[in-house]
Amino acid sequence: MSVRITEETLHALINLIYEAACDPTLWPEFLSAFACAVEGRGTLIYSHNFDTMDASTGAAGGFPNAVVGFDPEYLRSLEAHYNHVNVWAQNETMLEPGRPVTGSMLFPDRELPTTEFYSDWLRPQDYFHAIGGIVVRDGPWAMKFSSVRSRCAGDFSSEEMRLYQALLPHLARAAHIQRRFAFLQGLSTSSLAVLDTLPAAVMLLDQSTRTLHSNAAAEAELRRADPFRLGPSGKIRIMGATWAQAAVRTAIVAAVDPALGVNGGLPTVVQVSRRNGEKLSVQALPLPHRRGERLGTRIGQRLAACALVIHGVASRVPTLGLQLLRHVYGLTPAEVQVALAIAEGETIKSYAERRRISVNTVSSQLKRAFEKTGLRRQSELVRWLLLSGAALQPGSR
Amino acid sequence: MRARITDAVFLELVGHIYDAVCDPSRCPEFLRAFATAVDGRGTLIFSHNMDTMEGNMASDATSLNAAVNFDPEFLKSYDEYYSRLNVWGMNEPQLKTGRAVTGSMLFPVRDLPKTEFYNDWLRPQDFFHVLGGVVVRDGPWATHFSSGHSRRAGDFSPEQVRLYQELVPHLARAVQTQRRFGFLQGLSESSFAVLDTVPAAVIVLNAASRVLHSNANGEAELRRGDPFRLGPSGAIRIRGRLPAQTSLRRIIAAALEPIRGVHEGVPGIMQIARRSGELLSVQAVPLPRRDRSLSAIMIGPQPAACALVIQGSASDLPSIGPQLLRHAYGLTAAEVQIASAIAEGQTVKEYAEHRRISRNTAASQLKRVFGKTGLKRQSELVRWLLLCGASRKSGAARS
Repeated sequence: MSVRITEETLHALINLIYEAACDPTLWPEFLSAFACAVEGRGTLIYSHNFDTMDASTGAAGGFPNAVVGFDPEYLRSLEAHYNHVNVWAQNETMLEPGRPVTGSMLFPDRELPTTEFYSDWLRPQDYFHAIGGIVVRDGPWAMKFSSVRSRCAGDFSSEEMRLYQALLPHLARAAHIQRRFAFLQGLSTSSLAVLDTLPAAVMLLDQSTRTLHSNAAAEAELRRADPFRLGPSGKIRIMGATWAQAAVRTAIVAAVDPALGVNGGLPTVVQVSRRNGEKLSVQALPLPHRRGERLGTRIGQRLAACALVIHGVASRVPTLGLQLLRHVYGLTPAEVQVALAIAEGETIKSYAERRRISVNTVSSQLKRAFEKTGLRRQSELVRWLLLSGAALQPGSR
Repeated sequence: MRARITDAVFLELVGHIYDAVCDPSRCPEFLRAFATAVDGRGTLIFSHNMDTMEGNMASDATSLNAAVNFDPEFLKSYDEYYSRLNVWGMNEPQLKTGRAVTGSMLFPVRDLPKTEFYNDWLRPQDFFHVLGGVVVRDGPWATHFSSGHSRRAGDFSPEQVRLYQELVPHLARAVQTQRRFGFLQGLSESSFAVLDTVPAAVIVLNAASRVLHSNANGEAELRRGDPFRLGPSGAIRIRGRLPAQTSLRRIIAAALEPIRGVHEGVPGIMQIARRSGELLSVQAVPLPRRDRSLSAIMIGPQPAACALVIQGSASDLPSIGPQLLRHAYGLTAAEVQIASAIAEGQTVKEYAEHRRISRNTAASQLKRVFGKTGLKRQSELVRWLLLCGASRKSGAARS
């Protein structure tokens, strides 16, 4: 009846599985090939929750998910309702990872037509027989791989079951690879997001000082192009000043090879100026060297070797301190403003002039700010405001 | 003579290859299984530079390099010297990536015994025949996969060559995937290393407020357990105090859903005291999402959702400022010392008393600091010193 499933078919399917593991957009190709091999029609990989009976055919937890031969409308109604009345999914003890089952093993074929799941979901799609099983399970969630076909196509044969069984370990491994990829991608995205919250401009450079990543502040710094800009090869350039160029290069060299930097007495911090004279401190920060990292770098892997951290003297006062002044110490908006002005480098006199209020008013506002916070001197206020939240600021992109 | 290489053997080898993708330390399992299948002995995956003839046997997180049935001493001497004399490697640039070859196809078998490579490197290990090829090429670097055995064992058979040939596409995919993993891992490690330089405890939480990562200060803070500690499920707890616990939960909730937090007037910050009375400010910072689709993840790995930033009033002064004072402005050690003291909150009087010097001496030291830096007031000095190193506490990042 069914064509004999050859070794070539099995090898081709396994190859498709691993291709898809490394490029998830290729899962439908595997599903189509499998559907063809077992004469299934609707074939899918989806996530099923045994606690809630929820189904998800979307990206869930990095599990592979893909569908062929189903109308999207039916997938939506499966997620919205019919998976909860899926009589095949209710027999959890029969469904253990790595074990293939047919619909008839899970629920008597003769009773299937009496169920809502069949009448309202399977029958309109002309489905009756199913082959399936759990590929991997993680808590209540399971990655399911199933294929269904019409009643007239007959139940799935033992040969088709054997093929399914032979594929399962490879599917499990593919799921593992794909989840690891999703995890690492999530982790690097998260870590880069945290970098975006730093008030300093941070650029991750590779061994050849090309930029791998710039945080939000660094992107703004590079757009400003005063004095840093990105050269055509992705290297950091400094406009104009060649000595600054050389100094930054030296700092980077010292950071990439910390031992050389320390032994050669190279400073890892240099100062450069903007056109308006504003001073920026630039630090090249060595990044942890993992064992054998250099190999990765040499064979064209672009791994971060050092981070360039750029601070401007005119950096904004972090918002945390101001929030604390208002919400925790109960300063009035006017008192907060004076405190902020002092922290940003203004004197009482210049602030009074700018705001067109008397020096006495400003002095008494500042005095009340000192009383409420328990601080005693301007320099203490500056220190406190800058330190309380200097590290991070809410990021929004 | 030799056992036929069955389909099951092939599929098992394929399985081993992909097991090594997620865990490179399992690569030797594949190499051993392959050695058994082809009657090979020394079997290895290594990198080779075709321009410089340099070999690299070192394994790391971004490659599948590994070796079985080799004496480490010989691998070392290969890296250091013999890779340049590898007569099989000489013809390599012409080798097609992914094509299986035997040593006899690369160099005449009868000439091999005359070479230094054979006499001093292969023969002492009782190797003569080799089966191998280039799996992936990347610029001058090539990833090789080879297996060798003794002269007595004879040349590798067409069936063994075929098995190699069929495995190479899988191995190539595995090597490339492993590299991508290594790259992503490196990127995360690097950005987390930058976080270690922030002079505050930074604890990154996911949407379920479980700790995903702590920077060096964050780890120290959690170890201290006063008042923060890590609950059994990976959530942050505050020792004893219930109201503080509730406030912490509120500011985290506000950071996870910034819009709701703003509407409900949740400040996103709170203060809490250590047992010693030292006040800490705690801020929950929402993290920007570069990739919105990640928020849809329901199970498995969760992305970071907010960062908890904990700062004490006794935060250390970043050391980049003093370094800059010395290197860029030529301040003397004494001048750097008084500048740091001012930035740490001391008055000139306190500093003079503390150092047992006269107030005049201290004042003139400070005046020279102002003169050299062009700064005018103490508050300016504090501001400048704090800002120019706000995110950097020197000291090596953790490795």
